[in-house]
Amino acid sequence: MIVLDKSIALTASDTMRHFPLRFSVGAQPSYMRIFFAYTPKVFQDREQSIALIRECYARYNVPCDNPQSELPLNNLITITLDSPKGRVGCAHRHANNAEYMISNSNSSCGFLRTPIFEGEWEIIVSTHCILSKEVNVAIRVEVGE
Amino acid sequence: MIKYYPAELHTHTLHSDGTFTPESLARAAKAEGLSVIALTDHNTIAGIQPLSKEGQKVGITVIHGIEWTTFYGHITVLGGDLTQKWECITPQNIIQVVRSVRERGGLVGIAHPFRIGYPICTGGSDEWGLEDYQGFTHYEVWSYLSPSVSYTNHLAEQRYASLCRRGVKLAVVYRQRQA
Repeated sequence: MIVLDKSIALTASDTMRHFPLRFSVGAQPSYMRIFFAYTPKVFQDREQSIALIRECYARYNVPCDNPQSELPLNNLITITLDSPKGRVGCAHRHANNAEYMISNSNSSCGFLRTPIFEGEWEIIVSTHCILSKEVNVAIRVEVGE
Repeated sequence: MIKYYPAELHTHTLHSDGTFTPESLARAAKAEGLSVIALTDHNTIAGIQPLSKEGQKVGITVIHGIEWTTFYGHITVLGGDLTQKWECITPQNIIQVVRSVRERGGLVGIAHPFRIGYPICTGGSDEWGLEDYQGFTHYEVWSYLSPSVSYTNHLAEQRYASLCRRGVKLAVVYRQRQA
């Protein structure tokens, strides 16, 4: 059963923001699956990337001898999950297309094992870095027996 | 007499963006000759239980930790209450949050303060705007690979020296191994 199905269109001005997505879960299912994807991952504008890298190094007072070594610049979005009883975990990693399982017996890396409690859950979508003109996020949550 | 124990206080596993499983991290730490290891995965404590179990098996002490990976800086928390919501930490409330962790027995340190930040590594640099790091316990002067030759680690050394001159007391955290 799908309990959350959400798309978010982000622009560069949405960088460093948190988007809480709340959803309800009914009488205790045995597992939850989270499908999370965003695209594009890579910021493709090479010329602008080099300019951003030089500007960034200057801001941190570090000499920038080889800006190419920092390429490519990436968009980075993570998700954090809360159950009605508290924090379950976070997927802080660079993959932009992932599926996570949560259950009492087996949870994906980054998440604690937990019963799928009845009540209000929340996924927080955190935009650590958005460089592309438009980044599309898709998130779907399913629960089942 | 003071006794010293070799420890690694900043580590990651597959539970965030590391490459070790918790079990292989415990074994690698033991093979490296470490006595103590702290797991500080980004914004999650999910790897602690399996690491502690393996640590017990191979004979190393495991400190429960987390790295709050915020937009304003990264902070390693060692022990105490690790339930603080990382996304709620801001430069405006950081001192209050640190105080709360310390009251519950945790240690709180600034991680890689001079790493390059946004858009290369958002929050990678210390952008808390703190002068005296009130309540903080440690400061990561050397981090990442080839620490002694890293330009950003030299900046951290200079900052740490300047803090010491001003009487700010923070334990220095560093690593020795070269890449």
